[in-house]
Amino acid sequence: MAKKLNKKYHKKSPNTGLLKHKDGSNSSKDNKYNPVLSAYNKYYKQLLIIPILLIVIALVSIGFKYTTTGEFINKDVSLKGGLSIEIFESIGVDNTQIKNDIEANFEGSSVEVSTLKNLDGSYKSTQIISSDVSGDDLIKFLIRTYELDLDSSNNYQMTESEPEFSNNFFKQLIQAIIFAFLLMGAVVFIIFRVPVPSFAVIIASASDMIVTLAILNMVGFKMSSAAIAGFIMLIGYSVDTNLLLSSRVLKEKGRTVFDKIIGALKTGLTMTLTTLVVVTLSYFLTPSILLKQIMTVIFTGLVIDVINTWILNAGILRMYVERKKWVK
Amino acid sequence: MSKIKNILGSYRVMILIAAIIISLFAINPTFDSEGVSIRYVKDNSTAKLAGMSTPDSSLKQTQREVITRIDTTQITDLESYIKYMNTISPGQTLQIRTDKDVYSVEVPNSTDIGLKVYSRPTTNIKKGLDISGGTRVLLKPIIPENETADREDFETIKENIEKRLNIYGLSDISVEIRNDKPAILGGQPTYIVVEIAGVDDEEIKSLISNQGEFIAKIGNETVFTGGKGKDISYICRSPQCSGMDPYNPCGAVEGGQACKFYFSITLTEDAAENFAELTADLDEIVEPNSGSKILSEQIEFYLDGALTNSLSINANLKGRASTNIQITGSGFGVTRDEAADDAVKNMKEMQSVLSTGSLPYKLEVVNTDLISPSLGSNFLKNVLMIGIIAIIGVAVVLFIRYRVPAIIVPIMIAITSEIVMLLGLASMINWTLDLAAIAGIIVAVGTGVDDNIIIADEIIRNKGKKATQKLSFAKKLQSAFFVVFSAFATTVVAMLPLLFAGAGLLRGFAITTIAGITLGVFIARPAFAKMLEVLVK
Repeated sequence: MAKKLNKKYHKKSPNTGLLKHKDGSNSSKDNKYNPVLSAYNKYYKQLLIIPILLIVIALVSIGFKYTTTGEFINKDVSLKGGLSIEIFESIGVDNTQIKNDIEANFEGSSVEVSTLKNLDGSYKSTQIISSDVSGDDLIKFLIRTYELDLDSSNNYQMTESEPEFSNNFFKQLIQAIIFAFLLMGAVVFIIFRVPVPSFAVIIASASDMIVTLAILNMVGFKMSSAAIAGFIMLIGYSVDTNLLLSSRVLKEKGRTVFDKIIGALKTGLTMTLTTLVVVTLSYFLTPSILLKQIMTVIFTGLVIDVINTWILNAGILRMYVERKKWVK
Repeated sequence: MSKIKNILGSYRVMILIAAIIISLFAINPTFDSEGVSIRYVKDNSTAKLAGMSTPDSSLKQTQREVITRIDTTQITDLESYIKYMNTISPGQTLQIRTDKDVYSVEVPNSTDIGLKVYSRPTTNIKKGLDISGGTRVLLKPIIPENETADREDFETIKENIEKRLNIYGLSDISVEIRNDKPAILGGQPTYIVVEIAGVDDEEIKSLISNQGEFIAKIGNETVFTGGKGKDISYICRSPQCSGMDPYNPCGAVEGGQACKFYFSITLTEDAAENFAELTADLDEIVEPNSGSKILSEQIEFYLDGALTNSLSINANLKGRASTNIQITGSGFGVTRDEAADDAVKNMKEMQSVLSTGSLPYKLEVVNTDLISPSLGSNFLKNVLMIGIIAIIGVAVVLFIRYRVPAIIVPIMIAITSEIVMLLGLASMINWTLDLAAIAGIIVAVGTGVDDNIIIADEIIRNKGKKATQKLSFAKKLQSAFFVVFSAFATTVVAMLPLLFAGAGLLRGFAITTIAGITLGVFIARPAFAKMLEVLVK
């Protein structure tokens, strides 16, 4: 009884954490935090604008893309079907010429020819993409026309997919991701047993993915099935930090909410930083395009995750905890 | 020192050490990497005739036969092998020495002795297509509207394809049936996935996707059909009775060149009787160009409903139960080389198809991946280097954050041990390491580092605290493990749908991730906690 009265009595403003501590002292512990942290503490509700704005802009951008192009992401050959050939030798003719030659030989076809470079800027390969030509025919044509000696033990690589199959595959992947989210939400709910914090974790993770997708779309990034795998990896990484935050705030006793958040923030940022360091190193050190794509997706996602975990999720949690205290 | 004894004595650390040792045995890293390993030996090749054979696919990577020397040249790696093979000429006899035997192999006119090799593996880890290079084809049987194909039909197709590839000379192949949805959701077998490592022949694609119905007709009546043991008892594949037509191999046709091939077959008695019956009533006519006597009807060969060739029948075969027949056909191309290649390809296809018979359904190729192995060998070295740099990077970041030198060694051991255990598991169950699996390792290790940071946080915060606060430390460590387990549960659950999506191409990723984080949470993390606890006190 007395405890409850005490709590009510000490409640002066939402910034209780800053002015009063459980040990009762009224000392100027508000000087404990530097200006940035103080602002972070004081304006946590206003800061929510940032992640919310990001989600809204992302949804609008993706929605716009969908209504104008019928797709909500940029797909590459592995997801929309077609042919992609990568030739590791120099063809000796410029790309426009190659494109014209192929299109002239295969009537009615449309072909994209581009050059891929190594990290040091040197020539790596020529990439030819088309959805109208068959791989076998194109290889034979290239051998004939440019006198290349193409055999796949050394100097070329090819992927060819039926559009129907690729589209199916893509649909299934999206279904898998949605399913993964739902299952994950269920698990989080079972762990915390309270709706609002569980919801916060799920919204934060979903926002990670949506905002990352919008950003990648805007820079023209073409998704492959590897990139989609990157998104799924992102779910795992983002959930880690959110779970850490929620569990510290909801379960630990003996400290103020803000203190707990700051503690979790330090740990969480270390986690995100180590992953960012590894992802950046991997991006620059690997020649594999697929791995680079995965790293790009994860890097972008983690940067967004910082905002979504420590402003969005934290903000929702604080409001929830404060409200609980008021209601009691 | 007592601290080290303390660590090594703890049962959690002992379990980790045991797991690492078992993994290392499974991986079996060898430091002797000279030579090239045999991937397969083509049937009816000169290498096969000399006694060389394709290794059994159940043999572990490090146990396969290795070529160490050809004639007087040491074969140290793939490059030296390719270099030497570029200098051989027809008629030469090569002395090929392996770690098991010596073989005398004749070099035929084509200079192709029928041997496929790859860089000698230094571990038992089976490299996937993305790393070793090869062909992956996804096939979908086209099932007519009013029919359904059940599991048995798919098994038949799978066996047939395996047989065709085996006859071709490949044994390091993987043919699998995939569902369209997980079985619990009512998924049905829908696709066949064929993976062949290290093959650079485009021929394989049509070999496995053609339905393969072969019919020979005279005057619209069927004489004999293809298929094992039915009408054909022997198909010649050796140079004496098969190959390009020696007298008139190639000629110009509209649009380019055409080249002819032939191979002999022996019919069973029943089929030969059939032939006799069908030719008995035909008239004899005279062929205008050569003046030889032939029968009024030709024998026509149909493959999958398309006429591939028709031949005149010599008049003296009329009414005779002739068992020897020559099958002929041709290949086309814009240049003569193209036409010759096409002819050889068509011949081999027909030979396989006649041996194995036709598939119950036509197959459609929905996806092809042709991956070059040259990326592969560098790929692994590259990944290794990234791994080492990443581990150092993580240790540095953690040291800067916590300023406790004692964290550096345990975290490096933790990350390395997770990777080793995962690779050990992969070696033990003969599971292939491909791009998806590597992505899975990245997730598992990344999650592991995150978890270890959460744990390290609690332990380091507790450093130097008095004994009275020990109880709350134990509770705090518990709460750290609570977060670790929650993250584990959510990640596993997030991976589950992937096990079934998209013909399972991302399945390897999901399996590796789940295996990795399981090994991490139950073995690596507790050991890490113990190590750090002891060192930090």
